Amino acid sequence: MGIGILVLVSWFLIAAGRLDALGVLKEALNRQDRLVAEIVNHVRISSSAVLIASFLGIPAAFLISKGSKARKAFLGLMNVLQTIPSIALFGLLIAPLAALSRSFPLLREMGIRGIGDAPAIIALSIYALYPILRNTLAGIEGVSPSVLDSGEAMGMSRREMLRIIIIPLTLPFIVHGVRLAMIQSIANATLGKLIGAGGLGVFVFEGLGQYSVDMVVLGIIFLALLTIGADALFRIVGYAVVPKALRKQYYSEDRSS
Amino acid sequence: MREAIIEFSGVEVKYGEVEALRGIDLKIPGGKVTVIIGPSGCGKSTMIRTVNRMVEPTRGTVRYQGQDVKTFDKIELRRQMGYAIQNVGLIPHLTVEENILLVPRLLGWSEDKKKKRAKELLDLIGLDAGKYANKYPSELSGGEAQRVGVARALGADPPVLLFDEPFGAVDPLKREELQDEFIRIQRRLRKTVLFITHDLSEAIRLADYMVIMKDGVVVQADAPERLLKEPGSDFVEQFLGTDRTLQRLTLLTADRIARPLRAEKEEFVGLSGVSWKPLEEGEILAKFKKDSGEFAYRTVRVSIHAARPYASLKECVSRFLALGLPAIPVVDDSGKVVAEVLFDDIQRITKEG
Repeated sequence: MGIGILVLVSWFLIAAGRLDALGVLKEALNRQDRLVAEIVNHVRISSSAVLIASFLGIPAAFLISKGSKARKAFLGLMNVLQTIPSIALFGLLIAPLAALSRSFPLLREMGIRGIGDAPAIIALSIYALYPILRNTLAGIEGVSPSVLDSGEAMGMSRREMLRIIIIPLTLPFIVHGVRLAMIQSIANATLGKLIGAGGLGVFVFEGLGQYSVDMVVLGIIFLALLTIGADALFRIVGYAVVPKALRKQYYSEDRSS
Repeated sequence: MREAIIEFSGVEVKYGEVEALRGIDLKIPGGKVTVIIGPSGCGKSTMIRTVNRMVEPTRGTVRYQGQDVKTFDKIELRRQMGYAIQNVGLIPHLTVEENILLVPRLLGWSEDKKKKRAKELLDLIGLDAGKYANKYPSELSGGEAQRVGVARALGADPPVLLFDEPFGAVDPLKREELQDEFIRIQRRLRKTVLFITHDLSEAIRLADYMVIMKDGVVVQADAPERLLKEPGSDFVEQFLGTDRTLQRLTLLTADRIARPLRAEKEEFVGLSGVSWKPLEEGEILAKFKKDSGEFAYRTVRVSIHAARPYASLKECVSRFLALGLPAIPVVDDSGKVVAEVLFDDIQRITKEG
């Protein structure tokens, strides 16, 4: 959804003929410090979300890969959550988080309040869970049952099976899921500004509010750069993590996603 | 029968309502090939899997070397038993060598020991180590993959082998070749083998002891010759089919009835009156006396007219038909002429009801 906003705004600006390269540069130089700070914030917020989602999602995939009931329930829940518009989810989290932070001063010390970075990160984690969970699951279930059966029958312990067979074969799928989650989070994090979080959304929305096209374009340019950078990084990691033997197999198919 | 290495006592396996095994009492002889055969769903795979505890019986005991398998640690038990299945299950991202050395690796063998073992095994299954060691499973043909599966089962030189349709996924021609390999290997190694197949001729060729199953019970278990001579029930008789004579020919191997040869200068002579003179690559000159008393010659092509020591008599018959002489030469793996098989001897066998 974040990407959609980006595309829409860019189109609007270009169509309205208000794109002035010089103006953007001036804007960038003027607000250098703030720019750098918000880039850092943006990276921090989206990365935290993906990290949290990974810590929860990857083990969860392993756990639910066995049973069919848990599996259906989980995937169903994730599906539903994905359909909630991000702004709505952000908004929904404000009240409960505010209440929690009022009752537990420790949380307030840590900087967790109803508005700001905390609800943004939490909401982004929830969205990031789906691609990570689903892709990890696909990887786990893609391991041939004959391989697992003969491995176990030859005397491999559960740990050895994970280490020697399951993880090497599943890792490429996990990285794929994390990459998707990362791209999604970078885009969605733009909306964090609306509930008081930092990040490049600050440039986009303040720019919109002040009718400063240059600010908006600045924000968008760096969002694009971050997205492209993260995508490239994870594609490289994804390639490195595929076992040599399977490279031809994995990369001969069309990797358009 | 030698001492029983594996014993089933009253073994039952139930999955909910379904009874996969309904009471098995069986003694598996050590150092021999026991073939388990029967229609689909008779419980053969389930039975073999109770031995390495991939399946736990709901009742009864399986004993290995006199001890209840439950008293062994599952993992240690399995590392003592080679396991090969129809789909092979080679690990796709490991090389052929790494796949074969799987159990030695789990057991912590030294690099040297492992390297040596890999070469030994590749030689054993007839694959050039230089070429195949670093190939990946996706680069192997069906027959090659099944052979690697067998080599992997032999990896740490286990005393027991559990084979579940190990040659199932290849075409009949290749299958016979794999059976030849298996016979050759087993004669050298003398492992205790539990071998499942649904192919009757495969069973007859390979079995020292044959177990026929149906609906979760053992219907009859005996040496294949005896089963063929005296089937104990209508089911077994039907199962073995009506052409039991032909099957007995499949059962017996050339070396059982081959006659020795005397070496005379460059020729080998035996009872048949035919003298065999090895020529160049893969050819033998046969000299024999015609009814008129004249000598005649015929060129024997080893690949078409000669038999290996472990070839079935059925194969020998087809070679006779191709050659048209009263005997065929028996040639060993290195190409040497070692014996001859007389057609009269084969006729004698088929006459002995």
